[in-house]
Amino acid sequence: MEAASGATRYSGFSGVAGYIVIGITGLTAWWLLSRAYPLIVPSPLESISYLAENAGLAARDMANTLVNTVLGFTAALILAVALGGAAAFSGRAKPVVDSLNVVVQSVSALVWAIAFLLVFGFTSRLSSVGVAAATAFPIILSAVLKGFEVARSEYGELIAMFRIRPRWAFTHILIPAVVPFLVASSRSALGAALRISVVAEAFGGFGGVGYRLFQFYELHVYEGFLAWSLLLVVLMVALDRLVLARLEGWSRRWMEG
Amino acid sequence: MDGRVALLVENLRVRLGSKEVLGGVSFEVERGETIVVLGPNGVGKSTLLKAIHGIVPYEGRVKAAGNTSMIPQSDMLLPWLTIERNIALPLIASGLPEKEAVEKARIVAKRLGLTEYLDYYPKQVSGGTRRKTSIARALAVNASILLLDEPFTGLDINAVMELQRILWEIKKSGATLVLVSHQIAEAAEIAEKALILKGRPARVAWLADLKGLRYEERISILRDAVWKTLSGR
Repeated sequence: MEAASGATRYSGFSGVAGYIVIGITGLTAWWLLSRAYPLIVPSPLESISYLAENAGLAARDMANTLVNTVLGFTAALILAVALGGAAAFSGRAKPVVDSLNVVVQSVSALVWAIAFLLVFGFTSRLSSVGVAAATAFPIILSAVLKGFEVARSEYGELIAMFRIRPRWAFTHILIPAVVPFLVASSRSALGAALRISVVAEAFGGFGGVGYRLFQFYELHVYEGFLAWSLLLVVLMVALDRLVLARLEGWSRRWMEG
Repeated sequence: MDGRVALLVENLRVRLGSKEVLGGVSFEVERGETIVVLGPNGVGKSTLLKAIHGIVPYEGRVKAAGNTSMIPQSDMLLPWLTIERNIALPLIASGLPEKEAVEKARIVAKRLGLTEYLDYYPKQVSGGTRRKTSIARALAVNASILLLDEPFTGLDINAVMELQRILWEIKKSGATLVLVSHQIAEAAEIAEKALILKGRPARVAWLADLKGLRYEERISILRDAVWKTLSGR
C-alpha cells in the first residue's frame, strides 16, 4: 500500500517543479524590485549574504519562534482533543463545547496577541505561546468535533452491536477515527500559529523572528528584514512538506485502495 | 420456552422517538432453522433485528436460547485495522487476551476462506471479502443465533454464491439464522420459515412454514406472498 503524501498528490518531479517555478518567479520579482527601488529593496544576493553573516542569530530567532509555536500548538491540541472527547461522550458538555467553538472562531488573532501581552508581559515567552495556542485551538477544535461526529455516526452502531465498553471504544475506535481529521487540521493550525505568533513576538521583547523583523524595520536594516522573511517562508514550507504532509499521508494510509 | 425453540418474539413493539416502528410483532424460530424477513424499504426489518439483539429499547418479549450476534447491512469494518484485527475486534474489546483473540479470529477466517486476506486492510479487498469479514467477526463471538441484515446487498453474482455457501456451512453447524433480505431467490435457498412485515407501525402480514418444500415451491410461495401482501391484492 502506498502512502499519500498529502491531500493532493503529485509525482516527485512535478511536486518539486512547482516550488522551483515559484522560487524562480519570486526571486526574479524581488531582483527587479531591487533594481527599481535600490534604496528600499536590497537585492536577493545582499539579503542572503546578510543571512549567511548572521546565521547564528537567525538560528536562535528561528528556534525561539519554533519553540513558541510548537508549545502553543501542543497546548491547543491537548485541549481540543479533551474538549472534543468530552463533547462526544457527554450530552451536557456538547452544547457548551459547541458554543465555545463558535465563540473562539470569532475572536481576532490581534485581540489574542494584545490580551496575552497584557497578561504575561512584553518580555515573556508565554505571550507568543498563548497567541499560537489561541490561533491553533479553534482550527483543531472544529476538526475534532466534526471528526467525533463522523466517527460516532459511522461506528456508534458497531460499538452498540458488540456491546463495547465506552472507554475501550473511545481509545480504540473513536480516537483512531478522529486522527485523520486531527492531522489534517494540525497542518493548517500549525501554519496559522506560526504565522500569527510572529505578530505577538513583534509587539513583545522576548525575541524570535517576529521581534527581529520589527527590529530590522525600525533600524532600516532591509536586507535583514527580507532575509528573515525569506527564512520564515522556507521554514514553513519545509515544515509542511517534510513533516505535516507526510504525517497526513500516514494517517490516511488505510484509506488507499 | 419449548426446548426446540431458539428464538421467541412476542408482541414486540419498538418506538423510535415519537414514531412507533414495530407494532406488535410475534414469531418463533426453532434451533438450526432459518427465517427470512421480507418487507418494503423502511418498514422496520433492521429495527426488528436490532431489537432482538437488544440494542434498541422495546416492549414485549424476546427470548433467545443462546447469544445473538449481528451482521450489519454496511460492513462497519474499521479501515485502520487489518482483516485479522477486524475479526478479532469484539473478542479483544470484551477483554480476551490479544493472542487468544487473534488465534480464534484465524480459525474463523480459515472457515470462511479469508486466510489469505488476513494482513490486508478493508479498502484493499473486494466487497464480497469485506462482507465475509463482517460475518467472520460476528461468528467469532460464538453466538448460536445470527442476525443478518441484507447480507446479499451490493454483492456481485460470484460473491452472492460464495455467501450462500458460507450461510449453508453456518446452518450445518447448527446455528439459527434470522435473515433480512430483499432477494427472494437467495432467501428461498436456505429459509425454512418466512415472514413479511407491512404497515406503519409494522406488523406480521404473512408468516409461513416452508419446511419440506422443494426450492421451486418455496420460491413460488414466497413470490406469490410478496406480490399479494405488498401489492394489497
